[in-house]
Amino acid sequence: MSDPVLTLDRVSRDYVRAGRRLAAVDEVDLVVHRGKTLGIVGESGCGKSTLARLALHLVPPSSGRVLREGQDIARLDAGALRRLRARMQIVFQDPNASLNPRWRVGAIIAEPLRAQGWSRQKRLDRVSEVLDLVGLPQDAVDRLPSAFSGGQKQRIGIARALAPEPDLLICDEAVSALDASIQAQILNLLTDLQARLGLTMVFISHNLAVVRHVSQRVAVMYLGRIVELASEADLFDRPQHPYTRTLIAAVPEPGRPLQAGSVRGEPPDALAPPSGCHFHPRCPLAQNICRRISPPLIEAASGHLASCHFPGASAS
Amino acid sequence: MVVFIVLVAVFAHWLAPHSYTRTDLFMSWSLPDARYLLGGDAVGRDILSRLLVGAQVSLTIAFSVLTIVLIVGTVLGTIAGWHGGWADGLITRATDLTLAFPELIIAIIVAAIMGPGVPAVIVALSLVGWTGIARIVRSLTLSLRNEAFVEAAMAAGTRPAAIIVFHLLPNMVPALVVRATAGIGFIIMEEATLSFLGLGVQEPQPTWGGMIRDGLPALRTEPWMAMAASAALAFTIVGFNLFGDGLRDALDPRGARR
Repeated sequence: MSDPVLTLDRVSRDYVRAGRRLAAVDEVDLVVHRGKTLGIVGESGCGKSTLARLALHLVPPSSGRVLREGQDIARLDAGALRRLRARMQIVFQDPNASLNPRWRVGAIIAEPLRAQGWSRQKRLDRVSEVLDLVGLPQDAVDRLPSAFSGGQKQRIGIARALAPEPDLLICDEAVSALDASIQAQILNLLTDLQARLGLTMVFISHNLAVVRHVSQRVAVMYLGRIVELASEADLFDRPQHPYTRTLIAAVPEPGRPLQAGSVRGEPPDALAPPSGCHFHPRCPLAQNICRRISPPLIEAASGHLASCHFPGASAS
Repeated sequence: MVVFIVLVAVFAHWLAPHSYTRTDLFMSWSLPDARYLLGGDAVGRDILSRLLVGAQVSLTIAFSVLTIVLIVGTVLGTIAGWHGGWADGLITRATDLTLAFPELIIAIIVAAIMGPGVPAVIVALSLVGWTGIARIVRSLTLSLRNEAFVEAAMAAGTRPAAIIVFHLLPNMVPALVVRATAGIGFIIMEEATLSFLGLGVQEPQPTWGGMIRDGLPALRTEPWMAMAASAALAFTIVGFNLFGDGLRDALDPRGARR
């Protein structure tokens, strides 16, 4: 495989809620390869966003290591971390919240450049470049975010992320707050930019169709753990984990009647996760072993990892 | 209203038709007439002149206190909200402790230590006033630091101090302006209270609180001094409150199109 840009090595992140430990991310191993897009899907509250923040060291891991090209991010000093931030950027979910309403667009886009100590002239030049890149007019620099529509605001967010010329871009639900027609525009912009700039991307979403559209490899998260990881084609055509199958079955498709009750029950309480395999209370295949032993994430088919005692089995 | 009050205060000495200290026993408790437009006080000083100069004294105290309180409250509030932990504990305890004392007690203590007068009033009101600003700034910091644009700034590599100054403070301005302008009315009120009790501004410097007190014994027969000072006080407080409301509407970028 090609060289890893980002490696998560048994990374966990705990929070303490009401005196109890909540594992938002639970011993996740993940490798992001250069020039590729890794999709991460899962229900809300499964730890997707925490994973994004861990990858960028916006929150420190409780245990495990986040490696950037082999270097443990947590061991960098403040200056080195700041320089590294230029090379890994994030596009947030809600462009209304992630842009300071009192800053002009030019200042917003230039913020990462200012943090890197770029001169004023270089900042202005670069802002003008990225405005072109994301398809915004040059006169946007002097306006406030409130003068723009949701899709345009997200373009501003993308311009800010791309300004310091990162090689790793993390999109955390980057299109979820947008209208369907705008979603497609922004997705096409992202895939187009990735091809032109050779970006490595991590694309996080609860929307399977969106993830499928942009990703080469896809990881499925459930309650802080990765339950399946495979290439886009393998995962969607030959899902091994019953959770992935129920997710895919729940996506409405024209010409196919929705299978009612394909996902049983509610996501469990993350403060008191089920024993063994976290998915067993909702799983149609659950056996005794599933209640007792948490299945490791192992190769269920060639290049296809799944964390299930009965990978590939179908409910009868 | 506010512009009018501030102009009056600034130019009080030019506007005053008479010296605010010159006594004229023939004018003692004189009725309003062509010479003394609002009449004379117990020792025959011109009430109108004293009212105008009193505005200057009141506003000087109010703006001094406000400046001190805003600086101290904002600095301590952001430290408490951003840093959390022991710094937050210390500052929150300090505000609680200050608020546990009735402010009159604090004023009496300060007046006893420093001797009554303008500096004592400023110190006493600042000692009490910073807590309100610190509390507001602390809670604003706590809520703003969870905003996505603050996280975006951290992802951009912006230093924490720069995030506080350039991201948090500008977003606190509307709330602080409203609080500060309402606070001016409050400070003037408290200064009047202290002066009324004789703990504040001392003779011969005129002050509305002192004038209300001095006018009180004569309220039945010659009410104009107490009433003129009270009216000036009410006019000023209402003026600053309305001013604060207007400023808040004007400063909110999201409400600009209303």
